[in-house]
Amino acid sequence: MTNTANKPTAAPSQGGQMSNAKVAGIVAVLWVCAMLVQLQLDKTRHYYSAHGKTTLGEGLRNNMFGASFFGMREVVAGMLWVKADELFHEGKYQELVPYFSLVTFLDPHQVDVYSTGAWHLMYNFGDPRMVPQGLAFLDEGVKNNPHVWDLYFQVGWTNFDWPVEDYFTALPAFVEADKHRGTDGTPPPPYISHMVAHALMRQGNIDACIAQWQKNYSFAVKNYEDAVRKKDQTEIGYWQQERDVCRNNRDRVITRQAYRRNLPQRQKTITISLKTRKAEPRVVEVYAKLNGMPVMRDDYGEISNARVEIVLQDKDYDKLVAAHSHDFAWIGKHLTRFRSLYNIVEANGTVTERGKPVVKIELNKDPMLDPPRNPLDLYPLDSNEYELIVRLDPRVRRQPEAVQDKLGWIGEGISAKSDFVPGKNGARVIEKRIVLKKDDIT
Amino acid sequence: MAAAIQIRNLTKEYHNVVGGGNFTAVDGLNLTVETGQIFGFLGPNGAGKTTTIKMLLGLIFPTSGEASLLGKPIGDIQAKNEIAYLPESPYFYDYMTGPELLDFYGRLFGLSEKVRRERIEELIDTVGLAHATGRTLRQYSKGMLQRIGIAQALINDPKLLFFDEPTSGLDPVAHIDIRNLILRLKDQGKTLFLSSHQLSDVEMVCDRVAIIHKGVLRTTGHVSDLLAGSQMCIVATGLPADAVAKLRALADKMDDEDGQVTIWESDVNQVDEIVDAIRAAKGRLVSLTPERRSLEDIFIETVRETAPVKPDERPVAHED
Amino acid sequence: MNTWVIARGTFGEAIRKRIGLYVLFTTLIFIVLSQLFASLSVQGSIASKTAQSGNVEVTVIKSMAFGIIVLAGLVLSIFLSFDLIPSDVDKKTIYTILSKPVWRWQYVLGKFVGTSLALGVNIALMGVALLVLVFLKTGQLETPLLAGVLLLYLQFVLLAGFSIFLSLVVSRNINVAVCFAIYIMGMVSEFWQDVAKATPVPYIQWLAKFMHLAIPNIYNFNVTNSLIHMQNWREIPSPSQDVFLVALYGILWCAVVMVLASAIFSRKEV
Repeated sequence: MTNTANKPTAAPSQGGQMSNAKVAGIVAVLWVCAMLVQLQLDKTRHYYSAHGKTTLGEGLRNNMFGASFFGMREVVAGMLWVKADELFHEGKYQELVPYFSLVTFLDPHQVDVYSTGAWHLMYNFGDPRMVPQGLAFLDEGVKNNPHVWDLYFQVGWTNFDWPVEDYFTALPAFVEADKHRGTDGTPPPPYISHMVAHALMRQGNIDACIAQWQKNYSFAVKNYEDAVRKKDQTEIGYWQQERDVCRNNRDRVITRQAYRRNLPQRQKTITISLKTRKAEPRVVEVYAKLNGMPVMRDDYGEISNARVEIVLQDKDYDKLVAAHSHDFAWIGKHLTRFRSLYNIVEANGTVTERGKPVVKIELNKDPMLDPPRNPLDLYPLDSNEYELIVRLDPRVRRQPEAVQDKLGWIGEGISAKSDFVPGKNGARVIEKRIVLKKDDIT
Repeated sequence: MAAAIQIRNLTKEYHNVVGGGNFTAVDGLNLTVETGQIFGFLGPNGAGKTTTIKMLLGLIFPTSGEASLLGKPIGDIQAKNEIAYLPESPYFYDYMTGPELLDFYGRLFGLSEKVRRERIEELIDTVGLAHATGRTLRQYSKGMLQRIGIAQALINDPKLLFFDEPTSGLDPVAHIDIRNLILRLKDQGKTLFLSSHQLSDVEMVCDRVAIIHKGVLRTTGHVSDLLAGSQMCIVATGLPADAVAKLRALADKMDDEDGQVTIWESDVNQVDEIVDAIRAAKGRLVSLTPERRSLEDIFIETVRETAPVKPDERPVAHED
Repeated sequence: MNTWVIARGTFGEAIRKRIGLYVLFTTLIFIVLSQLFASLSVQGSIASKTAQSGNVEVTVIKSMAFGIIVLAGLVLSIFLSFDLIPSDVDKKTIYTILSKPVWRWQYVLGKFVGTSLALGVNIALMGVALLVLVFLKTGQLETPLLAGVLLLYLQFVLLAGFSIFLSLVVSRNINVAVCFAIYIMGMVSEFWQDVAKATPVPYIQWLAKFMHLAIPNIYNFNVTNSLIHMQNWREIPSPSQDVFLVALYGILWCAVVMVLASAIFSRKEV
């Protein structure tokens, strides 16, 4: 186009046009209105934002990627998640971990990725050094999904269960979880309130635990009655069972409480004898004996065996982790931690593993995964000093009930003369630590 | 009776952005079209015919000058209720059928459904498309498209119609049909502004014509005036050489062949003088006949009077 | 009302346009296929073994379906609009319309309204397909999804408006390119908020904040992420008010674009 028309000089009402000033005025007014609406929208915009606070998200906004994916972030995230799953099954664990942050960066609201990812990190790799990373990942998930119970529950569970066994962190997480609905908008399931009661029990707050079971029971009764009124057979069956479980659990705790009430007056003194031997490089044999262990029988009169945890880790492992709180790469590269949880205490106090009176700490092989990882990566043995811990914690879930019947909910049956470390709420945990030099191991 | 179209000093200039310089598509046009006339607007391609029509219809805006249609200034939306326009080789929404298209245009005039239905039926019949009412325009031939174009122009029963090259590219039968239709419209007292370079059409149907070339109005007048009394053809023999030389000075144009002299003269007084001169020289006056020119002659004469258009002066973005 | 007559004509034209039918048809197929894709991708993964395997699957379905709607909507909104007026000019159809008692603004607005209606039919069908698909998967009629579809629709309407406006001032190719640029820029308009936060220079801060407010913030219309994870939607204090505000925002911007387009077209020689 090379010709343009000159501005018409004599064009009265040509095509019904407004003056330039009028057009500019109207556009300006509309434009300002749009800006005012935008100011209003900015106040609630964060509710609709796709981005969360993720480790990858610092300084990046995933909706900028969203533009290039035309909003199909979640599809990409889903595909990456499937890829991550393949990597897991192929045993490419080191490659797997970065996917967690990538997937949650793209879709920070997919709670399943947080919970599954955390389970990988804390359980499925069999590498206790990854627990802080798993907890941090869950923490991020909670921050990005604070309105559903799912991830609070995961935080509660992993603190309650063997990766952490910290009931004072687990309890508030369960309590918080019980306040929120699920991703599908349904009320929190009753088992969350069960976990509240369980956590209270493991803390040693037995009266509060009984009160919680009573509360759970009343809730179930109310729902059962509602269901009967509505004649909803499925609901009736469900709440009937729930009611019975809560009542049984409540009564069981009451019974045990009566049984264990006078344990402080019948304390046992339990000490630990401990010997180690380097069987071959990176293989340490632990010979442990618990002296003064009472005989423990279950409700049917059968012998019950306590479980003893044996840990080999860098001296001051917890302090080192705290010092590198979010430097998981450093932790994974430099720290060593080996945990053996299910060693059995025989009637004579000998700690056994698979029926033999010796616990083998094998730092020369992968304890968990096939294909195996390089043991030099799993157990770098970078320090000169290590601590070997032998521990009998009466609170933990893997102890048979008969152990608590003799040693107490939280070790109130353990005398002050025993080898023990104190815990919160006056807990006593039978424990002995010795320091090993690197030469004692390699 | 008021003039249907009044044009005063209408000018349209295009400014050439690339080359600088202006191009004047229409230059100070003055024109009056009386109500009830069929007005032929003639000119070669690029003369400024369509530019003028588009200015009158408010599709483009004049650089200067003014015009009125049916007494209202151009661009007046009310005036358009009484106006129709058939562009050259129009193209319509081809997914519609003929009646649908007419209904669409009828709605633009705010015609009631009843009126629309009646008019559509009538117009489809008038333009001879009754056999094709079920077809979409995609299946129409060029002639059929022109017919439906005329029908859409008539949907509002307009007083003033602009037809731009209404017969271009049509077969002879369609040609005649459309010519007859135009005459029928004239009978209905409508004013038609007909732009064309098809001179034979214009000659047969128009009351007045204007010839425009290079944006400037060259001639205007009633067709009969333009054609009648145009010139005399005088044939004489037996004239001496000095008489022939004298006549050559007097005449507009003269042929001298084998002693027979043929003289063309348009001035009536001059004709008397020529005849007197022939008689005075004892020549024999063979014939004295008034010669009617065709519109084509006038057209070609008018256009030839102006120098050929240089290529670089031709409008670039403007097509006519 | 002539705007409505033009709109009806434009709507009819758009509905009969082959590209519209192709896009709609392909889109519907893809929306259905997204279910297949989702179930295939989730099947056999760890996620499928957890109690909430359905969640990942539904997430992928919704995200993919929304993504397909966005893609198809973008293509449709631009390709139904960019050539509307230019082709009328090229084919001289516009002469027969503007020589009738039709204001220029009525013509432009009619074209816009007609395209919006055609887009509406397309997007509504896609929205229903999404709703049915999610219903088949979850057994729940997630009606808030329609709010997301509605806002996406308004986004496409605005883009169509831009395309019509641009068709009056630039060539077809530039029009399409600029429209996509407007979409991308509008999607990442939060960038300006980030700049405002990051810079210590006061007048750059001020400028960045102004830019965020001044440009058409297409991102406003994308609330799909909060719908993909329904739990997020439930946490919004008053979603209907927000939807209303976004709709108002869209309408205001459409008005801006249409006033400008009408003004330009009234001054344009055709």
